[in-house]
Amino acid sequence: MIALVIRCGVSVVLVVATLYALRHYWFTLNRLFGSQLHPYVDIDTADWPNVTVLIPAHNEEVVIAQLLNALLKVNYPVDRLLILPINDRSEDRTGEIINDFARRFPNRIRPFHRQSGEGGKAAALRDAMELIDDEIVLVFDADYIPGRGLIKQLVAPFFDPGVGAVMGRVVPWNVGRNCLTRLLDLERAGGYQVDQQARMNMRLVPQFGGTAGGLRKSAVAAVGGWNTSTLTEDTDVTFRLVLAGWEVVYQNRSECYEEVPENWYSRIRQIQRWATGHNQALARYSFPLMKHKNSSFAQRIDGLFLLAVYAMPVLILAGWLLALLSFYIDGESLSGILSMLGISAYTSVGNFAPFFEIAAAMHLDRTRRKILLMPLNIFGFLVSLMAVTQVTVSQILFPFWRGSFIWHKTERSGNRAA
Amino acid sequence: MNELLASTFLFGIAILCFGLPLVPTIVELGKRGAARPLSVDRTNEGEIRHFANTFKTLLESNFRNPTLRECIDHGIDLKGTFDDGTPYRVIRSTTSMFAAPTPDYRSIPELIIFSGSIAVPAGLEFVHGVYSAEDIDCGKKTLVRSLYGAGNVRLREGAVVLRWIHVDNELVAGAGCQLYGRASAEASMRIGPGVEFERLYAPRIVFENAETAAPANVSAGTPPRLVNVNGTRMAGHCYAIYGDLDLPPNSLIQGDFVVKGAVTIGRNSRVEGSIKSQKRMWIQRGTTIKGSVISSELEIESDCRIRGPVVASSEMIIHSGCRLGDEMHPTSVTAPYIIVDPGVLAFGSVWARERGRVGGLIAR
Repeated sequence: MIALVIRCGVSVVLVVATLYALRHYWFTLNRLFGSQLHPYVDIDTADWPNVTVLIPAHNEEVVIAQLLNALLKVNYPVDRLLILPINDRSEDRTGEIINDFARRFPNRIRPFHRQSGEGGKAAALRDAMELIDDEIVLVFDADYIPGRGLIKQLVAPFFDPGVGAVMGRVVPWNVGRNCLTRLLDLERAGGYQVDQQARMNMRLVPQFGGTAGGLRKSAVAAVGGWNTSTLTEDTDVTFRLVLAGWEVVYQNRSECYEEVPENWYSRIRQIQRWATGHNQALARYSFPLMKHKNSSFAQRIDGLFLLAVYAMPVLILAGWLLALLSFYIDGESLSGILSMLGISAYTSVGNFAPFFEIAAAMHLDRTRRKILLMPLNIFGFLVSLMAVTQVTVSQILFPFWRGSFIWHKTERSGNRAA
Repeated sequence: MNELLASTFLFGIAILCFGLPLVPTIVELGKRGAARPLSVDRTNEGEIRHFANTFKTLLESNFRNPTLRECIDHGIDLKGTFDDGTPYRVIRSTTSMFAAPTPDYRSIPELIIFSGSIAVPAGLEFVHGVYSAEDIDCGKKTLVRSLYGAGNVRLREGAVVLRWIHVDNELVAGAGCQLYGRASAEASMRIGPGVEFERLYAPRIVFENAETAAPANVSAGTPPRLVNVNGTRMAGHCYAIYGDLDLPPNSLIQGDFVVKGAVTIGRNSRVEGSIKSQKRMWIQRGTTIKGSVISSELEIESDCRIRGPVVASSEMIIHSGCRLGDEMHPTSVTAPYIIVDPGVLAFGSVWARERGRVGGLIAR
């Protein structure tokens, strides 16, 4: 009986893991050979609507000025663009820098100094949204550097009345700092150039990433506003919008530079925060999504896979344990050996499906030389695996933990690429 | 001893087998040849005049003594080679007709700068760019790689532009011209029947004789009456309709509508907002839409007016008498395949990602 249960467990893990791997291969092949969907990128002339750019900034003195300078140079009509930096309880010179810009550009920059209240980006965005009248809201983290044409590109999809959120492509600019930044550059390329665009092509669920993107204010309000009880307010709002029938659009050609973490400690904290928030969203939205009649079957399955992406390392770990148990309990039989073989085969081939996406992204970006670093990505992968497993296991073991979440801000260097 | 040697040899082989594939990685890690951020073009911005502006900058940077302006103002004849090896000629307009090098040889091997108004005889091929300081009249079946006209430009029947054309004033493209790449004009554009195009921009684009075509008369007949559409409210004035939407003639609907099925908007209707169909949309004669129109396939019957962007993800047919955008609200019209009947007037840009054509059928 125990052996049967273990065998069933291994089979379930193998089926789910294989589906994940196939999904990655499917996305890559779609990106390489399928038809590409960029429906709004050609809207270059229009009666552009009023837009507010929100910049949540907590202790961002190193990078905030370069973002404000970049936003002041964009080609969006000046009288229709309001820049609203949120000085969110900063203890450094962030507020001072913002005030200096606001003094020099009084009609273009309206600062919001948030002195108290709940911590975290979602709370800052929630409070700032109450101050604005514009229907279209763009969000940039303080370490981002938008190009001159980016605002128009991100606003264009909102001419479609069904679009609730838009996401641009994030490109690291401090790539040359060290080995980690170079590995993160590969990871970002695979995630955006292939994964997000493939989901857009196949009309699945592209994800709003919380920065370098935009939202329709009335849509966010209609789905309950920003959720401050989550660590990934972007994933949370993405799924609430999808469940309410709004479309989330990914624009691969709307590229925006960002600064990626430059040390492993920051990276681990960042990915643990993402994993925690994603798992929260998995618990909240997986069942409503499965029952959602107005989404297509493919959208529901892809949405579920997207929600469960940070639960996969734990599942694989469980698969290994079950396969070992099966081997020792049931070692004489074919099923014990097959369990081990199956898990080993998945670890050898299926696990590396995301690497296939990265290779395709390098090909599409015409930066093939970067592919030489691919073998080192296994280290980044293992570090992520351990970090994600740690938080996911703690969430499973302490499911009723609902204490106030600690927002670990990613450290900024402000350094340009070496 | 032999066992030790054998073990060492095997160990060495194993190290080589695992290590050799990593050599390029280690070399790259040290050399940092690819340790650069992805190059994002932060200057282009999708600006339709990008190549024209770059071309003009190239000309100005290559003419130092005399400057390009001096060559044009003083009518200087010049011949030479640019820094990048491109041969060029500055041609003074002593006569109004540019002559081919020989009657048999129709290909012009240099970049040509016309300093005055000029007419180009039929059938010439300009393999480099052309800059015209004043008006230029290109004869039938002229072929130009790229053309910058500082005055007016007229392309006679069957002329072909391979890369881009930009005109500081008015561009007239005669019947059957082929405008590959970008075509832009600062004042207006008149596009003849049978013209094939990709990307057009001008404050006013007239597909043949729009001004003489019957203007849209939405107030003729019964005035539109308010119709209640059975939709689910998504937010504010935005409604989702799960299924098809079939509006009778003379309907008035207010708000933004996201229709999951096909849409038919009856004659002389009025939509005060934007409308989207995830399938096919058919907008019947005389309809006015205040916002944008988004669809998979789209057919706009004659005499319709649409103020916002018009987007189709597969193909779009626009019949005569339609007005897209207006002087105060220029807009974008975009689809992979676009057929525009003569008599349409557009303000802003018309962008066929695969192929656009004035009249006829979509040939994929």
